Amino acid sequence: MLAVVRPSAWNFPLFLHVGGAMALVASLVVALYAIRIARTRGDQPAAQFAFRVLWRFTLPAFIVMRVSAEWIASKEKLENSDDAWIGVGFIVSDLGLLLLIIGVVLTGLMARRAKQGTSVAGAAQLRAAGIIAGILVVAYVVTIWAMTTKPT
Amino acid sequence: MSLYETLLFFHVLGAFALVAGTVAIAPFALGWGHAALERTGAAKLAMTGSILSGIGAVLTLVLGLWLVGNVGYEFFRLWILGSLVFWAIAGYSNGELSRAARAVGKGEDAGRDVRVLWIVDLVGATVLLVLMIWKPGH
Repeated sequence: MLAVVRPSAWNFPLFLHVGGAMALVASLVVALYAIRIARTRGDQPAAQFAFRVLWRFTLPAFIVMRVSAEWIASKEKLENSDDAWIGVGFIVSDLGLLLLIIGVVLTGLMARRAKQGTSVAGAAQLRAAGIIAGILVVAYVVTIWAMTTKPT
Repeated sequence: MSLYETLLFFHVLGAFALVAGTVAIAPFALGWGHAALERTGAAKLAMTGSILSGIGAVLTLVLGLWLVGNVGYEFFRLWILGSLVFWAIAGYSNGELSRAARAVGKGEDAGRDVRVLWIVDLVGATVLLVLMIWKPGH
């Protein structure tokens, strides 16, 4: 099988899409660790760091990935495609955004509670945020599979 | 799933692992979240990151070269040779960062400035992605 060389006009949106997706997954890996530290220590700096990773890195990376996905899809005329790999991409990305927002809100609330001097060690909200981050990493690996193998 | 698709999936997954590992080293190299992680916590994350990055680097190289043969690309092309050079640069920086993090983990912090190493690592990974997408000289 020969790999197809795509038109050069597709390269920049594709670079943003793949780069954004890489930053998204990478920041989630850091967020997983930060949330675990916050759950263990329960103090303000740890909870604040977990929130900041999701708010300042994961969410912007998601936006870059998602906007450039629309851009490259429109260039390839795939907006209305019924192909399974496109469907997987959009479903994971849309549900992923919902989960990501829940994760940001949960860690934000815990950071605020910790700032008020209440320990958030072992907080169920942080546990939930950690589970969400884990689910997102797994979902994005499935999406990478769909994007590379392109099942129809 | 064909051999090409399998190789491509694990090659790209390796690239994601390489970048995830590099980003995980950032708090240690740049001092991000210093109050939250403390130096040893950041070093621990950096060591995990360098392992992740190392696995990703091996996957991208081995499967990348396999893909070159599988697809029938000519080896002596600018984008392939350039990728090997930047892979080596990123790999060297990653190895040095891993060594520095291990030293901190053992309580032997030599106060080495690892910021430049991390920037070189990140630039190497970014240029690799540019070469893979634009394929100059293809």
